[in-house]
Amino acid sequence: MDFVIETDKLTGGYGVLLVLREVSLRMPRGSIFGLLGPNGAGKTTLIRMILGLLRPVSGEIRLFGESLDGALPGILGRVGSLIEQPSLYDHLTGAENLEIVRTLRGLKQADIDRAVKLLDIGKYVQRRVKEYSRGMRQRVGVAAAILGNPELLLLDEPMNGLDADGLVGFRAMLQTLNREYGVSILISSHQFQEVDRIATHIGIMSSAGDLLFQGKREELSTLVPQELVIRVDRQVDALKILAGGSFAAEIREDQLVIRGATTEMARTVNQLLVANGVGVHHLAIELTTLEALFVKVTNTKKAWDTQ
Amino acid sequence: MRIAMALVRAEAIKLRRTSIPTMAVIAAILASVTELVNLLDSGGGPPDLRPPAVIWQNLLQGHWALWLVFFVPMLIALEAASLANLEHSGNQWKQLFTCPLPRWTIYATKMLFCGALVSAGFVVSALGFIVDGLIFSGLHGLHLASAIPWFAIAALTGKAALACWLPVVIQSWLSARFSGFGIPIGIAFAALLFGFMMIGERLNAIVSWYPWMLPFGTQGRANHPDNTVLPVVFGCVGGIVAGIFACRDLARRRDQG
Repeated sequence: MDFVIETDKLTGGYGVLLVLREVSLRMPRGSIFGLLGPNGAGKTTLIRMILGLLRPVSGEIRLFGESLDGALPGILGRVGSLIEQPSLYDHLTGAENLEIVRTLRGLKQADIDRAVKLLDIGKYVQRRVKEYSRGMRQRVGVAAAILGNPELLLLDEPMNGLDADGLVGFRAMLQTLNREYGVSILISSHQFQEVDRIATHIGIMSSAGDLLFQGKREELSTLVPQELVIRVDRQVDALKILAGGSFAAEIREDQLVIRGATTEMARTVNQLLVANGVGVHHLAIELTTLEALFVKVTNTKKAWDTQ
Repeated sequence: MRIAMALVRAEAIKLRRTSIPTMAVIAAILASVTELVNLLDSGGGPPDLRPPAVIWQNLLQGHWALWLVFFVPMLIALEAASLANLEHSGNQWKQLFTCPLPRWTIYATKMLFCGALVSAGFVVSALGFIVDGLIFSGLHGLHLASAIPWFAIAALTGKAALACWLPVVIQSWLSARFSGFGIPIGIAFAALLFGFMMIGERLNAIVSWYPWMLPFGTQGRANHPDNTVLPVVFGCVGGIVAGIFACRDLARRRDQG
């Protein structure tokens, strides 16, 4: 497989504080890779190392198959990035900020025009950055990151500060970049729902700074059984009936949940409840949320650690 | 060459709507106005019958001493700190370092811009000196306009500006290393005070090697009035050597996060 980012046993941090521990990441070309983890897991540190902003204590980084050590700084021309808060000059306009990046990266004016259009920032790009809201800053920061159509885009918490409309547009923009322009995108985030909507691949980091899982989104789903969610008119009676039928259901808010759902089970459960006079309003197999998967993976790791 | 042009252009954009370029002009004008007030204050005696060239030489020494001893070291410190703080303020360094550019070029550009702005201050200061001299001449009927020492002014301006490179590099280094104005300006002020005290203590040799006094040294020391080349050489060569070390040190520090 062709990887845009490969790290081998990457270890490092700040001074004596080790933040990353033997992280071996493989990010396939053309993927949208969601890097998840709690605050302090080392997501930003990993991105800083990939960009050559921080030297690892040990391990190796390869970008596009080339060792980072020998390829800097030229290889950064193929990488766009947004790390933490957008780095913008407040006294300049958004357009002037983009012009600085364009100049330093040796790009064309058309690259700015394209980014402005994609991010839909034309309305305020001529205003000074100090007048921007957080969301506006974020958009201009992303526009700077995508200037010149980089092959790889590294975005650290890019959805911070975006409102609901902004999030929808942002997701669409990332998908356009990925599908139409072939840009591989790594997004670090703690907003699982947002990442879940666009990521093709997932990486999960623990608070100890190691990579617990990496792979396709579907692979992650297989780690946790799916759930059968049922809403009925007589919850307590339904629970007893299901227990009698050897279905271990649990009450979660206003619904009953049975883990390890299959289509066959859904049919049987429905028949059982209806036959016993329980009104079934809703019955569905729900895909496990990424958040639940994250909890599952991190808990599994904790269990391993305590053994 | 493309990288150099790109860095210069980017730096020029960053200076838009900032007071950084005007600071150099204002400092030079302030020095000229101060010197003019000084001249007018001391002009109440008998008419000066010396030849115009001698009067100009006298004026030049007075004006240049004020500009070089007091104004230039603080102007260098302010310009260097302001240029560096453009990047410190929003942690722009990280954005710059993700561009496909050698890191040392980013620091070297800062130093070059600081040097260029201080040099611009020198040009304004030279013009201010001429204006001062002509006003002084007009008020005292000295007819100095026909004897403006263009070459002496240009030579002194050029030499002093070249001697500035070492303090420019040192202040740029400090300013890139430490965020904010406190440390770089504090060090410049302490260095200026120390240099001034040393001159007061008649340790005039200090102006040949003490970085913050090098521009003043181009005027000629009291005990070696002709040796004005040494501060220029020391300022230029020292500036280049210190610049190499500074760029290496700063790039290495950023590597460590």
